[in-house]
Amino acid sequence: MKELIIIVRREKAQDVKALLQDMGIDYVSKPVLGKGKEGGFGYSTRKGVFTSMVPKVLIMGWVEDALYNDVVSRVLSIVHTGHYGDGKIFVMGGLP
Amino acid sequence: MRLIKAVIRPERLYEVITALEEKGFRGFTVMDVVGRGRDGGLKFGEANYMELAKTLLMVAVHDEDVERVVEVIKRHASLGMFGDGKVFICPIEEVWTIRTGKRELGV
Repeated sequence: MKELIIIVRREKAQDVKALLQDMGIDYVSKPVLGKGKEGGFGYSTRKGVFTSMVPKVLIMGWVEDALYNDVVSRVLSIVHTGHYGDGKIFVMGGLP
Repeated sequence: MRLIKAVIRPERLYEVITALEEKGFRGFTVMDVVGRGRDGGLKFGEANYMELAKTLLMVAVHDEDVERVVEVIKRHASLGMFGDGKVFICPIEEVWTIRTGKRELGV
């Protein structure tokens, strides 16, 4: 089993959840805040330049070894827009 | 790569984030959680707090940066009292950047 932690845009979360449900994978999801490598959403005011955290949805689930390649590629195809802020997928090894 | 999960006091979050950004670690994820530690919550006479509000800070870093990040979190999240929280370090097998569709780093 492998643990998948998927962090995606809020508007794509329903699609990912529907996909996981179709594939029979149990998951939990939670709205989160964060910044990526680019350092978050930046804006400048008269008082200076600030960055703020970006809202995302975190989806966490456990996947069979044989299935996880398929899951990753299908999630990538659903969520991919090609712009910064698409999110990350972390794959973590579970117990054998 | 490692995923550092730090359960810290909510009021120390921005101090930790600012310190991490100064050191060059800009990516992280934050969520609000409730839970309790080894002491099993708090008890003030009649009032009994079974769960306490904490913030979970998750940072994915390279293996060689783990010590530095943990050091920053320890220094800036600590009040020296019960309830300061914990830092968990988990191994990551793969990281996928969805924008490029590429696997960034293996173990």
